[in-house]
Amino acid sequence: MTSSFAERRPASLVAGVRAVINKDLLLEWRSRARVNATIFFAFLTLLLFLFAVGPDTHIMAQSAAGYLWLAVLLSSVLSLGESFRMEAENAALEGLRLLPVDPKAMFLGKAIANTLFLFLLAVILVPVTVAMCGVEVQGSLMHGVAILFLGAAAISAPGTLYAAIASQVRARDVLLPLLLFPVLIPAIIGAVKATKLLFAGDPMGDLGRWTALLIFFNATYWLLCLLLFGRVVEE
Amino acid sequence: MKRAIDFGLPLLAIAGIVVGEIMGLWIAPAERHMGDVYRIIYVHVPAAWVALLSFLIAAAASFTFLFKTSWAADALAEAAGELGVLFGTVAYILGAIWGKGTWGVWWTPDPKLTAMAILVFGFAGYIALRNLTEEPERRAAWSAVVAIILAAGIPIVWFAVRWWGGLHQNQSTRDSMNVFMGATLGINVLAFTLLFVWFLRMRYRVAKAKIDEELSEPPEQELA
Amino acid sequence: MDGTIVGGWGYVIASYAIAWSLLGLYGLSVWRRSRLPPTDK
Repeated sequence: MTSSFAERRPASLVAGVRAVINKDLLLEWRSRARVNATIFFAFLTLLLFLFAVGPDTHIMAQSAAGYLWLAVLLSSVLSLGESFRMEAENAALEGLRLLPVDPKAMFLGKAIANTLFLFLLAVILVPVTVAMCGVEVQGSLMHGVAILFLGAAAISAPGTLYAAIASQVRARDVLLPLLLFPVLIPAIIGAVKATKLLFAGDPMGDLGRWTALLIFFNATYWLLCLLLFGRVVEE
Repeated sequence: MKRAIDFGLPLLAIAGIVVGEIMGLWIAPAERHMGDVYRIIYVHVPAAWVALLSFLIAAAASFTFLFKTSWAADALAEAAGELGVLFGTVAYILGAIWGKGTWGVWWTPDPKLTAMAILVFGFAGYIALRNLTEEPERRAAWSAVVAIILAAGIPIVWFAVRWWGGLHQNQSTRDSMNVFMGATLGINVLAFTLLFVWFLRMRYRVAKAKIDEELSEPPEQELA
Repeated sequence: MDGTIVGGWGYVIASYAIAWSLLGLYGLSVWRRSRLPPTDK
């Protein structure tokens, strides 16, 4: 029985996702010089914030959570843009349209890969922030890990979708942050507030509220971007 | 019928604005606490309301486009997006001036103003995307996606900004409004809405004409 | 009128002026564009 190329069943969703993740992570590993550079960029950004606000340790401690997440956000512009650069340069998105890869798999794979990278970045930055800003950590480690992960995921969902758009357009470098940042504002607010409470203690019990905001943000945007991604990479 | 609207709507809008302004500037009494500065709300509130309406229209039109590939919907989304940024900017500037006049600061973490600013920036990006994409199909699909993502964020933005500004913040925008002030505000809102519909129709016409022209051009040569 | 704050009118005039000039300029520009033949963007 013959079937045309396009009629073959696409790989199952999970297998497709795993394939995309593996490919993207492998590419990042192969170009780990670039990955290292991005991590150093994050450090540098953090440092610049500290220099900009001066040596007053009280202010630095107050704003540490904010700097942390801003450093992650600015670095994400680099890493998100990178995740589609290969596709853009090789016109690989055209190729992907001919293959039976479900755009949903492509989105999930890339977004998960991006999340893992940003989570790793945030984890590395926390001890640096704590040391340089003189903060103590009062909250639970588990909760901290959860917030870092939720924040990374929140950046990655719309970030992956917008990176896909931006990679196909000129002025792609400025378009990605221009589109992404307004959408992320609630998530950044939630992540910074939660992190600050984890650093400084939570006398009024607001941590749950910010965590809920992050969870709700992620639920909304992962679902929405998953559904809409097809329109962004189709012909 | 269409000609009647084409003529009548601008006239009605302008008349409404004039009446509204006269009421707001002269006939409405000075407010007890804030004196005359409060009159800014007679332009600030209608502009903000119209901006929000415009963004919702843009979102609805975008949603329609994703289901039906209607170029009228795409043109409407373009028009509404741009008008939302216009009226939202006006609302924001006026809000800042009002803040300076009443509380002495150009900006406070007022949830409404902050949420509006986020939407305005978001749709400014929407406009930038449209300007940077040349193929009509892609432009329409991508900007529709962006508009829907922005609209979906509105409730999340609202709560985030409200909690961020302080959990026990009270909204001091409505102090003591007597009936006449309320009526003046209502008339201004109505007049602004008419103005908005007038602008929207014009801007829609411009957008639709552009798309029609782009779609009627001969397609580029396919690669052999 | 009681309770008038002197100087409040400056803010009012400034804001109305800003608002209406922005809206007016935009209105003129879009009105002009909607009259011209479609070759003008």
